Amino acid sequence: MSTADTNHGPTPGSTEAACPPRLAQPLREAQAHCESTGRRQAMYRVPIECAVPLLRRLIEQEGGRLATVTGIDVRDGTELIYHVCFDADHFTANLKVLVPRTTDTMESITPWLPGAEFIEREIHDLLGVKFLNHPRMERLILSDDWPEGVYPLRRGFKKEDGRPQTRNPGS
Amino acid sequence: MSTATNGKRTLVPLGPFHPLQEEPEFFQLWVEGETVVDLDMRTSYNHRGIEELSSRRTFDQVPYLVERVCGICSASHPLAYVQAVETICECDVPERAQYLRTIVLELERIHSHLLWVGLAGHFLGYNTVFMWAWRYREPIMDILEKATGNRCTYATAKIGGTRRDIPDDLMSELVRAVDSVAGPTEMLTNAVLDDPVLHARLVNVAVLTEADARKWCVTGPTARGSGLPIDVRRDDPYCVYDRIDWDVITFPEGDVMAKAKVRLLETLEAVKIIKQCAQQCPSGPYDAEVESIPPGEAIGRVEAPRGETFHYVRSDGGRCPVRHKIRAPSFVNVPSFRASCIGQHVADVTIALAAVDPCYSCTERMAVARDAETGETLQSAKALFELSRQRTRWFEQQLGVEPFDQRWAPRLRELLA
Repeated sequence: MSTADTNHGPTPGSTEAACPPRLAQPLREAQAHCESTGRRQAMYRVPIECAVPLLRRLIEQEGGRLATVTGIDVRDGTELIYHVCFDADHFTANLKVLVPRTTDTMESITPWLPGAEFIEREIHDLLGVKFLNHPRMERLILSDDWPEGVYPLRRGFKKEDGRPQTRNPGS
Repeated sequence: MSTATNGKRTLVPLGPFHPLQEEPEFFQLWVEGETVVDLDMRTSYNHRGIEELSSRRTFDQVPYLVERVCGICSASHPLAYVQAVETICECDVPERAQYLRTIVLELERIHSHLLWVGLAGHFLGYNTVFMWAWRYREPIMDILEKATGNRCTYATAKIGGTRRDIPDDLMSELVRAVDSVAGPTEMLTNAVLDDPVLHARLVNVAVLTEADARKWCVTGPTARGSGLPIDVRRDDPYCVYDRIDWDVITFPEGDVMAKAKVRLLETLEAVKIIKQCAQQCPSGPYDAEVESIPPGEAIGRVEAPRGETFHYVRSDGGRCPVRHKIRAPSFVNVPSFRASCIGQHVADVTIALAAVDPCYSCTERMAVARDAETGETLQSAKALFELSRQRTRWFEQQLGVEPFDQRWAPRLRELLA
């Protein structure tokens, strides 16, 4: 199993690589650490408490567009990668946040970005991350009779766990 | 407007299976009289778990899987994945492969946009538009079959290049086929722009403002029809889009008409792009050897006909991706209905819902219906097949033709065994 410690690309370890200069300051202020860079893209690790203010600043003030959020089940919790595209700058910033398994909660961004509603509901269904202050933390992907607390994209998920709850256990 | 509303709301369900929609989706429209006052949607009736499946396939098998995410964007999905992997392994793709990829992508755009124009006509009750647009689309499907071997699921993109070449004699045939579409598309565009009935049905209908387009994170023609000039082909150039002369089509109005204009003019741009590619395409290899995929992670983006197709791939140096995330354009375009459809007449909502060209096959990536009590599968593939054969037999009796079963029974038994 891979955790996030994958490094490649020319200048890991700095916040500036391949990134438009005006983003350097907000990224630095949010303690974003550049892990890797690639073709017009970079991966940043961001502490969980700095993530939402940083996202808000990037999207509302710096012209970022949230492409989507990827959720990955890793050893210590769920890793969320917020993919923010700066279309005019030909650059995509990928902000990684580790949501620890002990809490499994993350601040929602839907209250100020309605486009994130489906994205966060999908992650909640498949990986079990609860988003605080989300206006509608209801099921989107899973069916209504899917058992509670079973998340199909987590490692260790077994097909039998996903049977409808009303199933007769004797069969 | 109805006089009997008295502020009372009525629920009008559209779906999950609705004669107008080709795929399962469920819209609940709350209407007061004729006006839609609230809207809720439910999707994922066909979620197929492709992201999970992908992590059990080798890097080379995944393109075969992801081109089945969607029958229409079957060039865009594999290419987005392939580009992400190529970023991880930092491999150089041969020039010719870049041109071949562009040609297939743009052929796909032409056929998809013409398909939408036809469907939009159908949704409005203009079945002539439907038949014309689909007829003009047919030479493109034929040339795609000749160039790639199939009308859809082209299997062209592979890590490091393309699977097969397009020979030079086929290239000139390809240009002729594309040319045959340009004239009719111009004619269709002018017909749409001039038609007073289409104006009445499309102009100022279901407006998505630029601010809303930003807030709902929409992509593709849905964004460009709202004046948001984003196009991955220009903003994160891949293949040969930065070496070719073409324009990003943007209209500021945000209504259904603007989205229709964007798609029609983009079809003409695609013709332009394909002709330049055919002319400039250098000879040489079209495939590079890639030996292994090192550990790493990257994103790959492609401007599919419906908007940005976004793939994220993480590798740990093994044979299979550790995580492969797919975000189809409709997944971000569909929620924007809450911004564009509320306040509209209920009769306009069908075309408004069609305006983003929603594709649920993409968005939900097999469902199996089971008995809740016993856990047994309700309909097997065999049973469904038998149902369709019963229907065929009924038609054969009505038409008085020789039963299909007698002609094909031995072969069918072989297939079903």
